[in-house]
Amino acid sequence: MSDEDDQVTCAECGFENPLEAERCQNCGADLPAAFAENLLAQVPGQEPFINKARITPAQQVHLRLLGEMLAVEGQALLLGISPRRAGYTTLRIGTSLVLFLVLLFSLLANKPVFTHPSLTSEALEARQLVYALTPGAPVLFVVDYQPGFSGEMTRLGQGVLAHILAQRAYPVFLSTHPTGPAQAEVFITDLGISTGIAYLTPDQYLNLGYLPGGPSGLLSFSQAPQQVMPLTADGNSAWQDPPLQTIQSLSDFSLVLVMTEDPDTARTWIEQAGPQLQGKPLMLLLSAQAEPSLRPYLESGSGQVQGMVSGVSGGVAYQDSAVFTLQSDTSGITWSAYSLGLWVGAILLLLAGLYGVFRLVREQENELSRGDKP
Amino acid sequence: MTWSSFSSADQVGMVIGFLLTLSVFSYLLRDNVLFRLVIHIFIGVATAYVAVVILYNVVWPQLLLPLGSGDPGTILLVIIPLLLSILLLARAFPRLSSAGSPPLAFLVGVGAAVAIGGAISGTIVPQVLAAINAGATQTTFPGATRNWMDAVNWGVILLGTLATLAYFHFSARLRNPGQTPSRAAWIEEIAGVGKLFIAITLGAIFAGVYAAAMAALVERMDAMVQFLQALLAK
Repeated sequence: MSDEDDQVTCAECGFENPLEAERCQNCGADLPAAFAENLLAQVPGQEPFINKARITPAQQVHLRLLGEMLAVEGQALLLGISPRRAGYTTLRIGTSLVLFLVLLFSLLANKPVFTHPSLTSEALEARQLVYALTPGAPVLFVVDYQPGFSGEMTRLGQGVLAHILAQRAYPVFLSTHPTGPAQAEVFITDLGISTGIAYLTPDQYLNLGYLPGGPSGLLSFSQAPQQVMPLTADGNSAWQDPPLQTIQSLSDFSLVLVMTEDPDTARTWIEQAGPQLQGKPLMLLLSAQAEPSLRPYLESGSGQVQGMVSGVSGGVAYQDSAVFTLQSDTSGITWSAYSLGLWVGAILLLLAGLYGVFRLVREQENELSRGDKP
Repeated sequence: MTWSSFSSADQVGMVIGFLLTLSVFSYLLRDNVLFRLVIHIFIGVATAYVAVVILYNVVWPQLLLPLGSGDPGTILLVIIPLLLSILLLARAFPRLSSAGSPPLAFLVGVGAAVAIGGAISGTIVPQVLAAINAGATQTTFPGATRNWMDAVNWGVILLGTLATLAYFHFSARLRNPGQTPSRAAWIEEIAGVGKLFIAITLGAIFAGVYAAAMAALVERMDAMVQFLQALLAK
């Protein structure tokens, strides 16, 4: 090899060839199969293979690069974490206290400070879908949220479920989360307390329980619900009641409604169950955190989602707009406390952001002034 | 409501809920034994509950019940999943773990095929078609008339899609010896716009997460206030 790292000299004619060449570009002679000096040491135990290998200079360069990359991988990456500033704990506790006190004041005062939100156009579409349900129409109501979100999801879904039951439709609960069946029972019991009506299975609703298998299970259920979920959550035969006797596939349900806080869960339902619906509407009841990711399915015009109610605000607006009235709200989220919490949190975030900018500017000024000094 | 108006089960539930919520809030002061205790209880209870649900809702009705049905056709249908399940259990024993590979490969293969097929036919194709057709046909909601806002909306969607794709274009070329490989200047410009769109998207998602967390906080605080009010009104 020549002294230049990017060229190799032919032993026959002395021509300078590029590294990647296997034969001399001048005389056609084989270029030497060179080894890195410490190659055998780098790959112990592979000597028989290395001795047979022909490694061109270009490959040696690649090998060296790979070695360097692997060496860097093994090194601990030093993160630029600055030591915890003095007063950090005080700031954290102070911020929390402000938030807690504001919420506590709002909950104890129990005064409606903020006006309720109005119904959005997508929630209006959702309401029209529920209004179109006829008595006895089977509705697949998917309860797919984690228990930690029950406050928001109950506030969000109570009005919609009350509306479905007011239309005398027949909700069939299902969940792809193991905790879903219990969540569904709590959900309908809470609604019973709010409406003053005891909803009984199997007269007014059915709970199919937990559907295992993730996307595969969901696809199977969409194609053959009776075969995949033959029993209810409490072990009884599921499909004997008149509203469900005719159900052979997902498209036999009048409406499919998915209630979730997880964008991936909703996406799985859209992808696996959507094509099986054959024009029957799919409606989403979403936590505020999932809504931005799923809005394109509604607004793109692809027709994959026909209605959407999202967040506490969506639930409050839906409840206000419906013909029924709930006697009490068991969800525990009052609109004023929630709104006040959002405002206070936003103001705290804004103040923290401004303080961050102020600190940054001051640090830059200090650095500049230090740089000016000799 | 007064304390005595609740049933004994509700009273126990409210006391436990109040204490556990307080323990979780104690994390604000610092990581402590109460917080860790609650986390351990949560994981233990959740795991046990899931195990019971799966036994009662899956294993019993879909595996054991058909086995005891006496119908040869039904029994034959569940023999294969039963064998695969037994093989899967072999993963727990290092010496037999290779026996669990076929069912695991089957699970992963089927799961991936279904997920990829669904993503292509359920998201990628419809969303790409919708993005293409948006300029020609889009009105935001059925029944709405097409207006200049729809045109602006379509323009923003088009710009956002292209700019965000450009941001994830990672091909780079060594333009000058000794320098770091870089993308073409015009892609860099568009990627900068894409970065702005990504920042706005992440901001919207953060706002949603914050709103959901606030709902959970208000629900917990309201439960605590109701507990204390009921206790004091006794």
